[in-house]
Amino acid sequence: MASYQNIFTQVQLRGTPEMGVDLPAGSSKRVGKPGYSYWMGKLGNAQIGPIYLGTLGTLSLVFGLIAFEIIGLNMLASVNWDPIQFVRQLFWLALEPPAPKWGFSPFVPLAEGGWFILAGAFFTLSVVLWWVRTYRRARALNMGTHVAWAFASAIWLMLVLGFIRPMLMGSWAEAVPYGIFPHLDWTAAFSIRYGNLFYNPFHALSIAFLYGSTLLFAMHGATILAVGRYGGEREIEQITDRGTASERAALFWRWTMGFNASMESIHRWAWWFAVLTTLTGGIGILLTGTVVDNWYLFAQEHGYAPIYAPTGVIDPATLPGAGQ
Amino acid sequence: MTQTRLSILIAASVSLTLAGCEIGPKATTQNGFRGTGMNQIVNNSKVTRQQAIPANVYETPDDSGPRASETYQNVQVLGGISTERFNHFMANMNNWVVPAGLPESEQGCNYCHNPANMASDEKYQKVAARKMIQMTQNINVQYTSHVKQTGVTCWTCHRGNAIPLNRWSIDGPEGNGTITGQRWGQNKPDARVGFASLPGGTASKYFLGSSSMAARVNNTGIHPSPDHVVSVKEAENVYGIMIRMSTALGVNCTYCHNTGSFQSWNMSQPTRALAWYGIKMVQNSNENYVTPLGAVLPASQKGPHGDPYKINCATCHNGINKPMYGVSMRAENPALWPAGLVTSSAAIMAPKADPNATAASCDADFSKALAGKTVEFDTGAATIRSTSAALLDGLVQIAGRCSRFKMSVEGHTDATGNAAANLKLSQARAGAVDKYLSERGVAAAQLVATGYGQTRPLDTSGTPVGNQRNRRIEINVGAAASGGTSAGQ
Repeated sequence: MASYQNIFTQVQLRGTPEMGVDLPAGSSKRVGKPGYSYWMGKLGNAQIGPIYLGTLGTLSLVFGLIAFEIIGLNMLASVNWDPIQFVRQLFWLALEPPAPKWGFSPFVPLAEGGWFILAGAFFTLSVVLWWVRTYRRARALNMGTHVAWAFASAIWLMLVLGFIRPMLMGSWAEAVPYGIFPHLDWTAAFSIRYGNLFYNPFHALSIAFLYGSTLLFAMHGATILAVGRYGGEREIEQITDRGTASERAALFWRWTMGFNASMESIHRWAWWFAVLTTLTGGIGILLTGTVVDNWYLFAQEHGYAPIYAPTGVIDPATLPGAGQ
Repeated sequence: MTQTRLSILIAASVSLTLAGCEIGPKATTQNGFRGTGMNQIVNNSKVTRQQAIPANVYETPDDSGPRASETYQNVQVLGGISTERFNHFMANMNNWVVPAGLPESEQGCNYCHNPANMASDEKYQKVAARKMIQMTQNINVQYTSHVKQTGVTCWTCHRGNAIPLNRWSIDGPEGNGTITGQRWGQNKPDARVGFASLPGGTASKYFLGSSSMAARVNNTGIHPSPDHVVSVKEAENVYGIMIRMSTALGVNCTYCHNTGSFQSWNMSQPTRALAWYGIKMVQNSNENYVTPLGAVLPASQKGPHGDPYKINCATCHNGINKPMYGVSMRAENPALWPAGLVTSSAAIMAPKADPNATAASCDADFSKALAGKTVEFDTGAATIRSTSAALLDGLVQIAGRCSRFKMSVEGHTDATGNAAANLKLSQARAGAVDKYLSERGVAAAQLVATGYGQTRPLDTSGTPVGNQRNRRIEINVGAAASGGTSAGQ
């Protein structure tokens, strides 16, 4: 017999496609003729569509596409418009922010980083419109707005990195470049510049919540799959009406570690961990260079960087006759 | 059929994943405190092989007989050595730079000389070779801080090539004011930065000359200050040049740095100071010897943008942390180690012991020198700040005159923080001052460094002012001397 206890979903429901509940008056229609996908059904629901796009969704996609094109065409230009080199070097290519000499001026020539500012503006517009959309769609379905607020936490980190911190530092050059390797190298250089980001307590919190999120997700996912044969996948009903699945899942953890989350609270835990990852991360980035310029020295001042036996090495630049 | 495709797919993705790893046994050496990751990892199969060093052409003649300047005309640099030695050195140079096996016009004496008139400077090769001999002598005599007594010869860099292979020249401008071809000197697969997307052409920022930037991006204070406005872009430059340096030596970051704090000198390995002198040496060599050759060299011997090929770490090191694994060619080639040049003109050295000095007069001198002044250290570290150099140089003078007496360098801290850590820190700071004095010629046997931590406060009030008084270095003269003089903080 097919069961849910597998990496891939073994049961696919098919029939008359579900068209969704009625929308409030004045809403746009959901668009697209629904169909079924066998392979998507392995991962989730086999039914694809219909989708609600509306004005906000359409505008968000348009602005997002403009940002995507600005970044992509700048990268293509950097390899002299050669499509083969564009593909070969794609991971190295970047759209760099303006140089420090431009400060935080909004009027930077396009070739000097103006395209970066434009791409950021369109990208931000796209993301913010998509956020409004998650909020309004949730309201239209008489849901809570938890998804929108979690998304807002991620947007906070994005805006700190690309806009708020550069604004406070008075320099676009502080922003993260667009690009696969370039943004990773920027991250390493950022840590080096500010005396090792690992000594930034908010960075530490962010990592704790990030790894905590994965741990919670693994524990919860495993628990629900493990009680799948008792209907554990209907966990939302079992928040209020306890069933065998819920009782067993709770018992398992109480016996294992003396404490168990409830069917409702485990989702609250996960939500907070995920939200706090980017929230604390954003605070950590925002403080770097604006309030604290050297996290290693900060950690020594506050007694949480270990002091090892000094190696006795002296900075030669401090010695007289240095350089000879 | 599907299974065949699947196995091909798996085989392909496994090999792609492993392409980023280095397979094979490695040798790991721990050279720092345990748990700090201060390890050198060497892939046994990728150790750079040492190129065979050419044998001495014949036994080096002694320095007797007529001088080279008496025998030949226009010998501007090596005129002071014997003619026999001069000829021997010329033969070795041939072997190192333009050895047999190259086309006739590119090997032997005639590469530099006009055979009809050996004294003529008509060939640019001869002018360049002379400048390079001067540079090599300068390195061997002025930069013992980096090359020690091992030194370098033409072979160290040239390895049988007229222009050393591991060289650099300036990167040209990009983009021409538009976005077409504009990479901002980075964001391309660049071997110079280990194929990271970091800026690759930064040698011209740090290695060009004495006015080049210091590769330092960290603030020495905790909080932002208008005196230290350094963009993350500058940190990318530094990161790039550091990758270039470690690649040149075949080492990883922890060969010099403790990655807990790249900045902190008292957590670094002695190799970092060695490298610092190396950078100074490279800057000096490029500025005073290589760049001026631009006026002589033809375009074919220069970089694509018209500047002479220049030196960086890899030029000598060739992928080995100690060039040629430390083999010195000094004994066979004394011509490259001339006597008579001053080792370090700017260094302040301690004077000889003054027979009239007494313990009391020395104490008084130390008191006077230290009155109202402080030896400053980096926070929580035993790194002496550069601002204290003048004060310490004054102490070097006194300590030299007083070196008939035992001098006790004592470190003290205030009572804040962990007592054991304070004891360690005070010991390290006293040791740093001891080292500073002895490196400048104060007899090391007369110096004793002791750390007392927080056990001997001058002021027990616990106020900030009191704590400030308690954080100090004292130098006490004579075994039984008491009171002494204080150098706060």
